[in-house]
Amino acid sequence: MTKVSILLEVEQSNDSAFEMHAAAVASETEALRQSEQALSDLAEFGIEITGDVEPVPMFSTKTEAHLEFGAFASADTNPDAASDTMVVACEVPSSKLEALRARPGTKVWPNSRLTLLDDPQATALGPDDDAVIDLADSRGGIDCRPFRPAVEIEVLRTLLGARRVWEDGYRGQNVVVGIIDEGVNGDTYPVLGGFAKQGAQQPGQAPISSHGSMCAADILVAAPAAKLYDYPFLGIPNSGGALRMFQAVLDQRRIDGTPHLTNNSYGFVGVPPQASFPNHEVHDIDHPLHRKIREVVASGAAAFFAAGNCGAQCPSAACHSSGIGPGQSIHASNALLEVITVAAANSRHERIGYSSQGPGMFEPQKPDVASFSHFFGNSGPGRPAGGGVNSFDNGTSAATPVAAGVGALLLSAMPGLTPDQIKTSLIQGAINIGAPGWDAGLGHGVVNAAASYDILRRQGAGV
Amino acid sequence: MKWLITTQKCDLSEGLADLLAAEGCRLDRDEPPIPLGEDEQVIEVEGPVDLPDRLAHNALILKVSPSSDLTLY
Repeated sequence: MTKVSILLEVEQSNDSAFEMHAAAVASETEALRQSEQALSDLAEFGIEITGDVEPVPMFSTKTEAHLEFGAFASADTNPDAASDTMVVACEVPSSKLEALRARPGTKVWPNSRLTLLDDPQATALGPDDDAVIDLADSRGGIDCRPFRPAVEIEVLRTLLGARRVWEDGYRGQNVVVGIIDEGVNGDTYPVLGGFAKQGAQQPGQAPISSHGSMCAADILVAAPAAKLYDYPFLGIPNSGGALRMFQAVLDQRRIDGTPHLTNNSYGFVGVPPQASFPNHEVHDIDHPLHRKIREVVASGAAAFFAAGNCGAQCPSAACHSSGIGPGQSIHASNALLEVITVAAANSRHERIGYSSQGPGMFEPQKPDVASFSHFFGNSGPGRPAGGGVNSFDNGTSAATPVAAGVGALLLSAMPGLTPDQIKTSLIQGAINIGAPGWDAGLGHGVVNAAASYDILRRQGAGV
Repeated sequence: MKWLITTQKCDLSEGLADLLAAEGCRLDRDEPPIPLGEDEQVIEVEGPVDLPDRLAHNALILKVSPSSDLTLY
């Protein structure tokens, strides 16, 4: 006897359809009971319940339930709803099929086999934009050593949607980004100024291989027309050196309103015990450095901070065990509410396993967003600092200036944006990876310039 | 050890630099203090590990914070 796999829809109303279905999902026995009840009047058709799918409630488009579903777009839990019919997966002898179709009150639907489509990665790394978009398959996985291959800048520009903003004529022009780091090479990158003590390395004098030069290259990914200020740390970077640089930022902003934002790809790699070190930067939210950063942000300059490279899956060798993993790897200035904290993802929207994880030790919802790392920006074949395919811009140090470049791009289009508006638009425009909402790995998702730009344009913000 | 000392705004030459030196601090007297807020300032010094205790009861000193080493990410 040949049997046919079908989906059988029968009339059966239930006032608490969602609750009833949840019970069926939770218990095979309950699912079987519901299926048998739904098919109790159809014994003469020789129907066999397959049991691989729980009975599914259906809602008539003529009932008010469909109108109520409009409220499901909110984050609040909505009331249950009344269903009109139930769909049960079952098998029926082919000889009975026509009679079943003819029976009033039942509908017979095919239950056809579905096929998984080809792995999109098979087409990865193509030069055209469509193939690049295929890279962003949003699996939400983890990229750990050995890391996936780095990609070209053009891939990131496509994934960021930068061209959407460029098409309107904005490429970061008239925006100055301050890079607080170990110095930028001004022969290669557009360093307009900055600050350094007399006798120390001056702005623009760093070698092309410097960490600050990498930050410069990465800001220009989304904002190629932006200009730079160089604030090199004086000797060994410490919070006193950073404090002095932020004061220099504030001094310059008082004079001419620049730099418009700052990039900060540094931080701490361990958490000393609070009982012994209550005034340490990771514990004292009113440390002078944190206060000064709040002053700079209050002056209207957004501050982008790297989340850190002490994620649990493959932390940097520099990380102390006290500062690795969720809840203890984003701290100090990098965890301030006022700053924009950036995690690292690769071009496939996978979190890079060294990217530090929230909650932040000051503001819990850190990181705010993620951005791209592992690409040929300053380093790599044909790039200013040179190197082979295994030499590429990396770390949350690289992801942060990419996000800061997006901030610069938005500012070039809407010069009046406040730091809070920039942050909010980056969050609202982010491509969420994994479960909806914020998560400790990638925050609210991966930045997308096109989406943030369109959101701000609709709001008429910052003009 | 490097420290950041927060004080009320004042001229370093008016005794504060000498006071800090007496407590074992080394500071660059030519380096201007960093203003903080409306009426405070921060001075970078190198000093002994127990500097917070040494300065705890000095009315001029508002806070003694470490200037810890940062790492490039």
